[in-house]
Amino acid sequence: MKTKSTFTQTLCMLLLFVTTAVSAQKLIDKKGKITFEASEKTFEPVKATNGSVTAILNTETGEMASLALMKGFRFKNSLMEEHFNENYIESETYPKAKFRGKLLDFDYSNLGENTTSVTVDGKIELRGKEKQIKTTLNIKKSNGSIIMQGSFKVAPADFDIEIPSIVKKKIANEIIIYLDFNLQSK
Amino acid sequence: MRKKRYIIFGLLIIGLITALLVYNYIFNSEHRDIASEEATVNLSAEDIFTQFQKDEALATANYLDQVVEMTGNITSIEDNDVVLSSGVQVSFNSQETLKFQKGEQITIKGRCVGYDELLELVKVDQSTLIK
Repeated sequence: MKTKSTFTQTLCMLLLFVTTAVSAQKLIDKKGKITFEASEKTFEPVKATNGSVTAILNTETGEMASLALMKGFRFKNSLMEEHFNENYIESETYPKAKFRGKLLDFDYSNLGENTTSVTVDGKIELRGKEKQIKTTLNIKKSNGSIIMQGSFKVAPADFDIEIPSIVKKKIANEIIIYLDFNLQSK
Repeated sequence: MRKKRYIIFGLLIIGLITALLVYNYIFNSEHRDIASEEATVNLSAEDIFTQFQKDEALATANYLDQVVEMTGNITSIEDNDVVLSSGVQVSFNSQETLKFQKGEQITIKGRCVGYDELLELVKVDQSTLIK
């Protein structure tokens, strides 16, 4: 009898272990959206969107990673897209931007359907340069997935991007980057 | 006297047309139409994936922004995307993915956008189905 109860206990423990292991899964978004805008008033908008950004969140540790391929940014103006790729980002040499960071004080189990503000701290790597980013994200659960939205600012100089003086007036010094992720368990 | 006036008038018109053409080129030039471009290479999804895994810089130099035609088996379908041979994520412009089934072999044409090492997938966008 006693051996049986220990057996059940071990089984319960094992089961518990297995369920925690499953809940400590990674949530992934393969089609995340990133839009950046560097428009100046009265000039043509400098804006592009990438609709296939990858984002991965480890719900246990709050660690997250994201990757955007530069060629995936689409502009309304094709010539602007060409200049972005060839002169500014040099996407043949530096084809992607990566982010690695961590959500601070993040507790997955406390996350609900209401939007919660969570601070993320990490580094963006682009054109061989790293830049520390700390910003607030709006996060909520929705139908089993996590919706994550936010924005932050960078400057072209952060990544050694030189803007020629002829177009300097048309491109903002501060570039706003908006992100919109829908992370799901796969 | 009258001749001079004609010349000035003519020059003005030419100037105006040039200005319009330049304006049009800068602000309204068309995006590439991948669907109507000829593919520069024709290969299998496994092949391009292996090349990116082996030497990403070389494969990037070879295929980035190129129109590629490739054949592979559908390993997953999601919205407007399919994954071919567990190695290439193909994004379609339209809802073409609706008629696909897992395991089916397809040939597509699209633009290579690069390698995503988080997902370990080569990405191709603006794709159209060849067969």
